[in-house]
Amino acid sequence: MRAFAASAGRRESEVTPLSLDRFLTRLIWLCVAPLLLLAAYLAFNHVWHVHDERELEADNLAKTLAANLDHELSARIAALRTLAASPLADDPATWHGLYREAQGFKDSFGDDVVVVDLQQQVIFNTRLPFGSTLHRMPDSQGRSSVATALQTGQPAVGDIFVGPRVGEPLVAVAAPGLRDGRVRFILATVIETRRFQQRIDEMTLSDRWALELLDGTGATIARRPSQQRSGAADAPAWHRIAMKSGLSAWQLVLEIPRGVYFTPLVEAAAALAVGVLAATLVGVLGGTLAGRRLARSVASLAQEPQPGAPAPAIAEVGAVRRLLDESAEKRRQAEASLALSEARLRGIFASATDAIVTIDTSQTILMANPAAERMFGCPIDQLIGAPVERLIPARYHARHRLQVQAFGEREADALPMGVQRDVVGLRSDGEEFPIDASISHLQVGGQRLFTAILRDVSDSRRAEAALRDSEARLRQLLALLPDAVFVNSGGRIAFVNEAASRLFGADESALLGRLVLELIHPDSIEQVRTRVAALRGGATTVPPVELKVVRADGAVRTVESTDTRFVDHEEVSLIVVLRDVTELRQAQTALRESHADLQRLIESQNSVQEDERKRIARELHDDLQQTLASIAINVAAIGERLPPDAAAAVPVLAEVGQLATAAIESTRRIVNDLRPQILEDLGLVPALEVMADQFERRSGISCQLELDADAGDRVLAAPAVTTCLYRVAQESLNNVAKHAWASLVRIRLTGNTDGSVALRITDDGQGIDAKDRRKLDSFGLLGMQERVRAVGGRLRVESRPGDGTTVEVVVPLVGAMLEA
Amino acid sequence: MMKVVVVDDSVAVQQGLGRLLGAVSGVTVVGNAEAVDDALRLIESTRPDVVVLDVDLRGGERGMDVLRRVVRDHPGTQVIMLSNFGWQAMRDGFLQAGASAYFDKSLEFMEARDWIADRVTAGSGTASPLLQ
Repeated sequence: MRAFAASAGRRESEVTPLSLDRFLTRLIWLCVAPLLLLAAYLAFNHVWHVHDERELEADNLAKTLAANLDHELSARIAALRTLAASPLADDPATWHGLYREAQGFKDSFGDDVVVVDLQQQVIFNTRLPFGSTLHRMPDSQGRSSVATALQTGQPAVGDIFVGPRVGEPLVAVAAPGLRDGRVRFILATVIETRRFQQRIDEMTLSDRWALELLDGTGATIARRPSQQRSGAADAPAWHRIAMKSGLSAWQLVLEIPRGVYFTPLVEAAAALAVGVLAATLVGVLGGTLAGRRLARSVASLAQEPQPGAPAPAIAEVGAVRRLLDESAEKRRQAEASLALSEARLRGIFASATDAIVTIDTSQTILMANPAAERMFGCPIDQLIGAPVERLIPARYHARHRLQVQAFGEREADALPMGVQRDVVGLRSDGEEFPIDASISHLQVGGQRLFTAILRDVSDSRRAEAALRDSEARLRQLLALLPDAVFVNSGGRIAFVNEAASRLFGADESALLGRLVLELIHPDSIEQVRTRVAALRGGATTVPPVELKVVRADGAVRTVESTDTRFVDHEEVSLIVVLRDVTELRQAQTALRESHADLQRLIESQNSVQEDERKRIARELHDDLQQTLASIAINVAAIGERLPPDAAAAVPVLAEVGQLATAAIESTRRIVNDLRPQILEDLGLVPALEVMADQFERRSGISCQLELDADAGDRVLAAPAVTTCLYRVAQESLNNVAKHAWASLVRIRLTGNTDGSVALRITDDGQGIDAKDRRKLDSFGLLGMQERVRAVGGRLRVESRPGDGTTVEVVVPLVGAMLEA
Repeated sequence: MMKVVVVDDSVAVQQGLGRLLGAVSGVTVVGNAEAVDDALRLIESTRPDVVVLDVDLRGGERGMDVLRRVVRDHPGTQVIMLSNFGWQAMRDGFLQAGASAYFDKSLEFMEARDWIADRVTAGSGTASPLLQ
């Protein structure tokens, strides 16, 4: 148990996950550490590389200096050897000659030459005149060049010795004078050490470097100290390079202060280290900050989204956040819709108008909804737990049990399925009623459940019966209907009534299924197609139209068609009602023709009447009026010539004259009324002017004229119109004089832009009372109406009691009219 | 003497006018005519001072035709119209065409007589009421 706990604990500690922050920090160091190591290695490597280069450089310098020294020495040795081989040295008698040659050497090298015998006694010295008394060669503390050359028979370079005269430090280079393989004398050149000092000083060398020329004993021949060394006594270590001369025991020592090349290297390395360190620090710091930010962003994913919280700074994290949010939102919606769906299902269950009853295999009711309670008249709590047979009349129990069993077994492994069947239900009060039942079953947790949805169909059965009755009545109605009715379903006749059979002269069986267009006269087929298309296109009605149809016997009938659409089993069908108007149309045509005849008759009557009037007027004017005028003139002439004794006749003559004048005036009025000559002679406008003038004088009613001369001229071309307008004006003025009690009449003749001419007579009289409208006939308006219609015009009478009357005629002056 | 010709399609009117005008002192009616050609011949032969002219002549001929010829051919002859048409438009038409006066035959014949008498008194055959 303990072991288990421990191991469990260990496992727990093992799986404790690393925080992202710490992980990222480690990652950064993991990346930076190799860089650091590499940088350190490179710095170290660089330092050593430079160091080695400097040493090599110093070494080379030292070698060069040593070579230079050897070169100088070998040049002197070679010259000394040449001099030593001179024949002038063979005999002391010619030594002065040798002296002169030695002077030449001195001229070349600047150093004195001495000749020494085997006892080291100086024979001559180019520093002193030939023959001067001379010392032995002074001894050197170290190796003596002369002694060495004596012993080895080879040229030699000696160490420092002190000059016998001035006591200055000197070095010597000696070459033996060999004769027959034996040393006979030594020829040596003495060089003042300051000459070496001079050479060293002349050399181009870093002033921090030190250079020293040492002889075989280690004594200094020449020396150039370092400025550094003198400045800083406690200077650090020196790098010392000693280079031995090849021709002597001397050596050249080059000393370089380590600081000279090491310090800059160390400084550069330190700067590099600091730079790398700083870069590393910055990298680590930046990485840490970025890591923290990433860690924060990632951490925010684990939190619930806060409204108004800033979006994660990293795009990918933001995308993940959005995905998470969306998925959370979807989950919430799914939960909400699930809850809603559950609530809805509960609601449906509770509020369904159909009864829902669930039973188990033992036929016990497990669930029932309020509709079941209402349907069976039994409370839900009594239904639940009761056997389902309580809801079924006893005589069906056995059958029902078998059915349920069979249903359950047959579909034992099936999914929920519905079966619709008519069954009979039993209410708690014992009433039986028809039910439409839909039953399904399903397995829930190993339990088999049957759910029945039950609908009380007693009402719908009654409704079906009522519908059947209604249909029967409708058929009866259609049978009795005088109008033909048929149904156009898909272009074919699907129903006809008796009237339709009569119309088409074929019985129902011959018409059903026929193409509708076969029954339509070719003149009307296009019309029918348009109507059918409009109705099928969605128009509910189209205006009634007149069509021609063809009977079975080939006779053509004219029908008025009224169509409407209805949808039957998702198919648009048309109900077509046809009324046979063949006879009606024939009668109408006859009536129209008769009316036209009548119109022509009126027209001709008018014309006859007008001609007759014209004839009478002419007679009266030309004949009667002339006669009357001659009577009046003769009466006047008689009066002029009357003898004085006939005074008694004067009043009689005057009376006859007056009678004649009265007769003349009456005749004139009659003539004018019958047929105004002026209308023919001068046209409508002057005639109207005369008419107005006479009217004013006769009636005392003032008359205003507004007559368009152009309109008058146009009317002149149509004498019938001229007469008509004149008569209308005449009749209107008569009416005004007789009935209107007016004080002013306006007559207006205008030409309209459409070519028609309008005449308008307006008075300000008492108008025509509505109840006196019938008097219009007596006012001669009917006659006017007929006259106007006869010339194709239109008469309009407008009147209100107390507000005057307006009579208006509009006559179109179309070509046909002008010809008439 | 002032010579007058009467042109009218009614013989009764010719006679009446002849009597009426003949009664005026200084006036002699030199002839009567009923149609255009008769009238023009008569005027040509008699050279009257005044022609009394009707608007309508016999056989539907027009007094206007006589008037126009007289105005054109006999500027010295005055024409007075005497007509049963009393309309102003008609009066204006004849006066414009050159008639010296226009009277209603049935109602103004006395005025016509007086107009001629006035011309005799004035001793002039040229003055017309319009010019007075």
